[in-house]
Amino acid sequence: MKTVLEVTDLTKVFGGLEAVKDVNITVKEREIHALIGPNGAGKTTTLSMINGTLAPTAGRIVFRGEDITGLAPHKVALKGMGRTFQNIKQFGTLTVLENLMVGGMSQNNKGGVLHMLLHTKETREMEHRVREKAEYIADEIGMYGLKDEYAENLPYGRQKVLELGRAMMSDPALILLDEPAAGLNPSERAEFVEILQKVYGKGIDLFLIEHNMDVVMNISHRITVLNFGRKIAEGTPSEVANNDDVIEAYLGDRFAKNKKKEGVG
Amino acid sequence: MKENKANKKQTKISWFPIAMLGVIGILPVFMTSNYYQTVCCQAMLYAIVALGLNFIVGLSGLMTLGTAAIYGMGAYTSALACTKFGLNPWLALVPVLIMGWLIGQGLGYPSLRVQGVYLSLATIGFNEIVRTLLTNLEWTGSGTGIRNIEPYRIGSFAFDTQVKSYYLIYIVLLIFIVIAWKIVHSRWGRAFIAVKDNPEALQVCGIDIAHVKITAFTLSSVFAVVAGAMYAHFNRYITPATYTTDLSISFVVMLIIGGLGNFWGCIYGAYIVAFLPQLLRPIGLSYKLIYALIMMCLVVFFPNGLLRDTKKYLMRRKAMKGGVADENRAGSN
Amino acid sequence: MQNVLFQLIVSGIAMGFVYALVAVEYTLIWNACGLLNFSHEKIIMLGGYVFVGTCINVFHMPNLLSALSAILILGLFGVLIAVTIFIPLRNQSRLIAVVATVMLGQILNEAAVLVWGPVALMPKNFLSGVFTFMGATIAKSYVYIILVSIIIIAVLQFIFKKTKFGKAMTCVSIHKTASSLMGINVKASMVVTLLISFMICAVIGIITAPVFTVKQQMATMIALKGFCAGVIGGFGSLPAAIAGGLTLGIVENLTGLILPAVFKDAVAFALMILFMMFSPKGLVGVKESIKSRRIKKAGEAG
Repeated sequence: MKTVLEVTDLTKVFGGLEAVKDVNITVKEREIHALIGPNGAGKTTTLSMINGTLAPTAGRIVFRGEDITGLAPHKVALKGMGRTFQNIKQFGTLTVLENLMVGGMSQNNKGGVLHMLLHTKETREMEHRVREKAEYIADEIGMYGLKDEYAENLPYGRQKVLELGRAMMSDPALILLDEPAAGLNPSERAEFVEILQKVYGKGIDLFLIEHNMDVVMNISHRITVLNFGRKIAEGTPSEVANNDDVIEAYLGDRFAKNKKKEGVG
Repeated sequence: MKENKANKKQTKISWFPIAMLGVIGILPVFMTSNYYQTVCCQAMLYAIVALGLNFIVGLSGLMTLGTAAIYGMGAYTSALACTKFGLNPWLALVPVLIMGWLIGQGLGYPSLRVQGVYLSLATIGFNEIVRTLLTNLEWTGSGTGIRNIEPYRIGSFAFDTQVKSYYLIYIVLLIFIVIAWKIVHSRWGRAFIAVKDNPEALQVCGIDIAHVKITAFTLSSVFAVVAGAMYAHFNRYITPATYTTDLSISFVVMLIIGGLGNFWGCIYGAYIVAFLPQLLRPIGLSYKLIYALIMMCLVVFFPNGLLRDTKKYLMRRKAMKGGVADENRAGSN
Repeated sequence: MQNVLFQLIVSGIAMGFVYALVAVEYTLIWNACGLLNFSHEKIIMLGGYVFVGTCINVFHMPNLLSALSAILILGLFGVLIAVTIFIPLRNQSRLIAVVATVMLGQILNEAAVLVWGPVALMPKNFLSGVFTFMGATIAKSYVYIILVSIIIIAVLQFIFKKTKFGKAMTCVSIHKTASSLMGINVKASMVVTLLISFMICAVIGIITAPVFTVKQQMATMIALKGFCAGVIGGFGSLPAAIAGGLTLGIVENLTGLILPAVFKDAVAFALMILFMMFSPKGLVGVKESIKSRRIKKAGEAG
């Protein structure tokens, strides 16, 4: 299996604090990879370094065979990496369809404003193409009926789905999701997992941070665990669930000791 | 939910803009006084500037207060090109456009590093620097400005009277309305709004926000310099005293009265700001005070634009009278 | 040459203190309300007019009493403005608030013409005359400006560092919601801030009256340069505002040696824009970056 994303010795230091230290992650093609860890483990920092929002202090990020370390976020996005955010980042005063169309802008953008004004036919075709695609995606994520609604008027869960849809618009190879299920109620969560599976089925690989173990254990093929900025485990969901270090990180060392005792006894 | 039109974008053509442009078109027939025709011309030029400023302030949500300086630099570039280098006024539009592009690029870069109130301060600084230079450099005619600027001509036909200039500016206004309309309703228009709503999210869509912001500034300054150049050849006399920070603020006020981001609001906002002082003039000495008071009330009580807020208020009243709980909820959104 | 230089530096320091006072005055409002008061130039003007136009010329009060009454009247006016404009505007978008304060300034401006007429006023026998010091002639008004400014800044420092009220105001500037949850009355603190701020404006208007004469545009430049001083020093902090004001005052006066005096203003604004671009935190930011570089170096050495 080919590797889609390879992170080597990634380190981020804020002031004197090592938020992320020597983290190695390999995301294979056709894989849903999850990154988990307790609060403050450095998960979002890692994600932000991968997509270029934060510049890493040290380390290397290779995406589809290309070194993208330190590249600006929009350039990373152009290489085919989408992203969603933990706190929804939406274009509130644009409609759902327009939100999606902004997502597809990078693919259908040639020249500046002057170029656009002078080539009316090309512009019309591009606009038409983006609109059709946005309508298609809106249908895929089950929001066709809401396409003319302003994004800020949507319920929370819908906004999260919309963000995913926006990331899909540029036909990415990989989408990074920062806690997609956080704040969703159980039925919304189930729906979201369904949509994630659908996205994955379209040939898009997923790399997600998630707190919700239901979601993680259900959909991910591989899990990396961070604690205090360091990688403490990696493996399949069942491997990780039985890893002592992971249990200690999540439930405290007393619980882990008890478990060890039980195991011995 | 579906009936809730206030929350949806209306895509159908409404009668209001067409009526407005029609009225503007036949206005000189009723307004025969030279004085009011001059005010009308100014209002249309303001409208062009406001349409451009809409890209920065209305759509992209950046607070810039240096527009008067750009408007002035357009006027000076064209006037100097004609008086010092003997260029034809039409040909002078080439250096004017280049100037607009340069200012836009130059002002766009600070906007990447400087945000919010700082940007207003930086642009006020820019405005003051330009005004100081124009007032004190001998080459630009110092405080007295430039006189005897020739009008636009086509063959032997000169746009030298109020009515002729009026229709020239009217045509230019229509051209700029078409251009601005096309941009606002294109991918770039969406990108400008996206920059205001959420720059980070726009970045991860693969779009360089620096490029978007600089484009907004460039468009805005191109609109402003062309309007400035038109003003120079219409008024045929320019002084640096016109291009104060107060004028910059007036441009923003036009947008607020029209409703930030409201396309047609730019135009009626410009007319209100241009005409109100003239209508109040008969009151006497205190007319400026009354004008400032009215403007303050408009800004404070109609922060979303005169028409939009009035409409909202009327809808809410109607809903209250009907006593339908459902509609009431719609009003509060 | 030396005398000229000395004179330039003294007047630079005096103007620097004026800019610093302006910066302090709007920083107070900025911290308490989150609004930039763009009408402050007209408040300063109002201070001057009330002092000369009303207290001295109409009521024939002695200078000192006039000054005190003008300060008091402006303070009350501040309370009025706080209740009618700043408190309702505090939750509006920044742009609306900026434009509203500009409009307030225009209203005051036009009102001043109607009340006091368009002719510039000059206080008689007020801070006039010159000192001769080391061969240089220095206007007395400059010396008074420096003294009064130092006193005001000292008093403010005392209020903010030592009194309970000052600490409460610092809290409000850091986080409005949290402060109100901790039982600090945010609205009341805004009222008091405007009271203090407008009183400082009155003082500025009074002490600069002999320098600029009392007219509508008397404070236009010092008000804008007060903003420059704030940016150069570092926005939102009082000591930084003072440092910025002094730097600006001295630098712009010394540029008079190289450039024609009329470009002095342009230099001030250019300096502000440069600081915004390259050190958005102002002199405070420069200090911080030097410090952190030193720490880094020490760390590398260690």
